[in-house]
Amino acid sequence: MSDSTEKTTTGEQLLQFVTFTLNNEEYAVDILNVQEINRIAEITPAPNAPDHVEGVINLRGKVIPVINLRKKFGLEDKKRDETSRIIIIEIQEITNGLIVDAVSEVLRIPSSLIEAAPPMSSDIHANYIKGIAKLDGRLIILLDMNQLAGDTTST
Amino acid sequence: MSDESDEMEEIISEFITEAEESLDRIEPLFVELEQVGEDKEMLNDIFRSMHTIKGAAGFLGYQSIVDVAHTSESIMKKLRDGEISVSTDMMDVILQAVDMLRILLGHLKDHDGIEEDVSPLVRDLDTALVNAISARSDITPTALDEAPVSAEAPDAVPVEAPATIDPFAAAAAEIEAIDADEPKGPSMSDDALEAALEAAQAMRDAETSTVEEIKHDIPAAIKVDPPENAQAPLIAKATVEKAPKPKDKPQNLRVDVERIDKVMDLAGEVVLVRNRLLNISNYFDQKYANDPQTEILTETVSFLDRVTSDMQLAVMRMRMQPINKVLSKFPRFVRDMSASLSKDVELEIQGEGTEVDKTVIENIGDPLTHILRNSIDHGLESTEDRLAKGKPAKGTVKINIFQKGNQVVIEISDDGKGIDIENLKRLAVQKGIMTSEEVKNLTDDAATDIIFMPGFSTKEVATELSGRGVGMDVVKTNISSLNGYVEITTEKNVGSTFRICIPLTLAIIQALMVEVSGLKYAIPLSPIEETLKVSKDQIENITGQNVIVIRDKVCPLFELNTLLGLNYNGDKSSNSDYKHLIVISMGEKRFCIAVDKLVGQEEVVIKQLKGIDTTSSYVLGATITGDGKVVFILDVGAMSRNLLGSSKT
Repeated sequence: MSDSTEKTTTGEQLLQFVTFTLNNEEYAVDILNVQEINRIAEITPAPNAPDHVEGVINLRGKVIPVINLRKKFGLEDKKRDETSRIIIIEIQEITNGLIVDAVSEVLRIPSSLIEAAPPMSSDIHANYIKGIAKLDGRLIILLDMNQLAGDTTST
Repeated sequence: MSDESDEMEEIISEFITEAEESLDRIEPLFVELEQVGEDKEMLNDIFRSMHTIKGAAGFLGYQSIVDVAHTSESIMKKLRDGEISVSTDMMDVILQAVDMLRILLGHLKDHDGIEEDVSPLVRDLDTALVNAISARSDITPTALDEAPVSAEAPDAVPVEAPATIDPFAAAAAEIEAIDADEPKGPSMSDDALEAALEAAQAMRDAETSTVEEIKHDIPAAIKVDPPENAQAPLIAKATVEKAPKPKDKPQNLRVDVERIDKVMDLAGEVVLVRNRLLNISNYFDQKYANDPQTEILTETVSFLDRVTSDMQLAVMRMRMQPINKVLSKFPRFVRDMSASLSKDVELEIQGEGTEVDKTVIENIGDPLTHILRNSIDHGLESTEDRLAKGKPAKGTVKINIFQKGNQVVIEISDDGKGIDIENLKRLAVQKGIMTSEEVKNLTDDAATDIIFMPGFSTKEVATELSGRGVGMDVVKTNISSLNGYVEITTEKNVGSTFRICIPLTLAIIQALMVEVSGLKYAIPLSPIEETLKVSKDQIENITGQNVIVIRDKVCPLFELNTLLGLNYNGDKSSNSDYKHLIVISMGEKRFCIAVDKLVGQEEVVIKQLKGIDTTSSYVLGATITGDGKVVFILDVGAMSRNLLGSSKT
């Protein structure tokens, strides 16, 4: 945690997130989980894999699985375009790629602006949401990477 | 603070490894001792190993290890000095001591904090020693008196010494000291020895001291021992001269396996980069053939090509270890087994220096033990039967290991009764493993494979050692998991040979590249029996299952794209009138996989898949081809298990 947290002048914690869009909504993951962000490479489809596992890619000699976040969250799939990216995340010593519509920026969010996820029944499985950040009128969904990782290995 | 405990942790783990290695090394010696009688060199070797373990354990404060090692050491010392002689009873109890040391080391390794009560064992060892001494008719009364004393003598190993000293170096110094005293050995008392040891210890503690200073210190170290004073300085001097030259040993480095695997991974990546560079340089060679720079490029790349191949080989060799690591426990195993079965068995081992991949070392032990057990229990006849047949009373089991091409071959042969094939067939039918129809069609070679079928045991009465027929099918599974295979040749009353073939390395396998629905897959070459091209109308359908008749045998057929859940592009392949079939044979099971295209044979580097559940996806791993694409390697073993079920119908 030490690297991604800073203090504001008022002594408040600043958390760093990588934000991306999916179906015109903004999402964020803890920057410490993000290893790198790549353009879409050639994806080899994995046999008998769950629908949301798009396949595997060759990341400098390592074979890593790629997850289609749209499918994972039950959103309608979209054709990949110029802005599509694969976010390489490492959680619990397993490296995964996440396909997203576009990567926006690195954001510093004061912890006071983060609220617990409101109880709601959205398309997205509420399990994956760690909280919601309100920033200049934007609503950013913070994802719980540990939940996501546990999911990809067991299904 | 944490640094210090890390360091201690490292010292302890080093102690465990080295102690286990010493035990591995000396265990076969005990068995040899029993066979060839007293060999001074061997006794000395065992004595030193025990002493080293005792010294290091004492340094680290592991009292139970010290107790066991110390009593064993006393026995070895008496044996070495010819005061007592080797007997089976004594060997039994010493081997028990070796077992106990292993258990104690195991507890240390697991950090489970379990304490073993070693006092009964120590008592047994003492009793064995006393018995052996009184068994000697020419024994002098003084030697008798001495025995219990030496068994209880407190050890001089300084537990409170600074933790930064390598306990083995300290122990080694002690041993050098003992070596030094050897010529005058018999005339020296234990006390004088201790004094010399302390002197050596003092010298190690004070690394900066000159020899002169140490010499000066020695009288102080030995003043505990006034009666022997005259002799001690001489000995101590010898120690000083002898201790500081541990140079001419082979230079070995203990390296974490993870680091070697990392280098191996990186070497694999360099290979991929090289492959891409080769493609690029070919392109330039064709397009700019006249440019002198192109020539330089091609030359450079071909140099890189050679270096990379050499590097890959060198890295692979780093993971290779002599197979002796596995074999060293077998002399003891055979000894125990022949004793409990009352069969006289001789074990011959050849080629124990052959090097194989670390993974093979880790996984080959159990299968080999099973086969060895089977050969001794089922293969070799009882002594009476052997004599009746005019064979030597002593049965022989040979283990022969050699390298053949890029495979390692392990042959285990016995000169026993051979496998009765008719009896095998009869039992297979009787136990419902096969029908009498099936059995009739079996060739003799195929029939021997019945042994490897689950739930089969040829011995009417299960013995304690060979179990109840579980085991031999495990042998086959274990060896298949190493991408190897096992076969049996047998001749009645002459003996049987189990031949295991395993690829030298597991990181690279030979694979057949196939294409289905526009995607490439790799199938390990070893279980592939043949490939066929058949026209569609040759495929028949029986009760919903596609089958094909190959040389009068019906073989179930599966479409690879259905197996892998690939639906798209499916109609493209069905347009073709022909299918390529790959006939897979896993043990007794045979089946065909239909693919669109055979691409060719390739050597592939296996990459593990992390983060994808492969238990039901028929995927073994993945590999990266020369153009940087990921290709899945298929798990035909899982296919055979899932599609054909575990029991034959």
